[in-house]
Amino acid sequence: MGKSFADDDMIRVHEHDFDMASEYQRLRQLNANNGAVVLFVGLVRDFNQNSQLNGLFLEHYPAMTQSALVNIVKQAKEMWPLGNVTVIHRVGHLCINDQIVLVGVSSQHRHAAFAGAEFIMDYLKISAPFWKKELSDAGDVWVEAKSSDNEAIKRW
Amino acid sequence: MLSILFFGQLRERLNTERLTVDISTLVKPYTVASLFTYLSDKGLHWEELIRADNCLVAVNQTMATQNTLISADDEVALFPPVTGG
Repeated sequence: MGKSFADDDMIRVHEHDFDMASEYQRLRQLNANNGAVVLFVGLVRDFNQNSQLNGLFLEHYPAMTQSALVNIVKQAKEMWPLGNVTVIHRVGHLCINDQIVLVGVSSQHRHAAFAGAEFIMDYLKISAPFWKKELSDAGDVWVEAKSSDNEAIKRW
Repeated sequence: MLSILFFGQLRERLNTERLTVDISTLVKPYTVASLFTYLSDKGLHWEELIRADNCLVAVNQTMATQNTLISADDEVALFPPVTGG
């Protein structure tokens, strides 16, 4: 179990969709020492700060996104004995019910895998350079950062 | 030249995605604060948005503060709090 970002850890940012089943199979097959895989997928909801949404537009800072996500994964690996980590985040136009983000973590035991996945999502929410705009018939509105997201990281 | 990038709502409200600035036009010492002073002089709208409490800044893709030193060819990005995930 390495503490730093490994060659077979994976971070991807792109417009196209991802397939959770194949990401699971990849994590499952990377290392036979791992007895647990936790996968989280975030979806576009049909309501948020605006009432009825048609979808989202996601912008990011390409030159910074990769390093910000690598740093989050490194921090998680310092806190728990994690196997491999996969982080996939989509950008561009997304529709209701589309997949936005995937965090996958393998580990020898379930506790580290659950905690590592939650930690990575919590820090992604407050420190990875992505910005969401909600698209609706009433107009397009940039999403405001939530103070609850800043509160969420205090438990770590 | 310094590259100044703007993202999210800040990019939209300033109607500016990218600026280049000759560092010698800033007040010494060259810091994020002196760049902010330069940008604030571009107009009231700029001053209000850049001085807002929630305006974040990164220098060469690392989060920075007003005291962070900048050099001639750095990339400085200004953006609102992030909302990914």
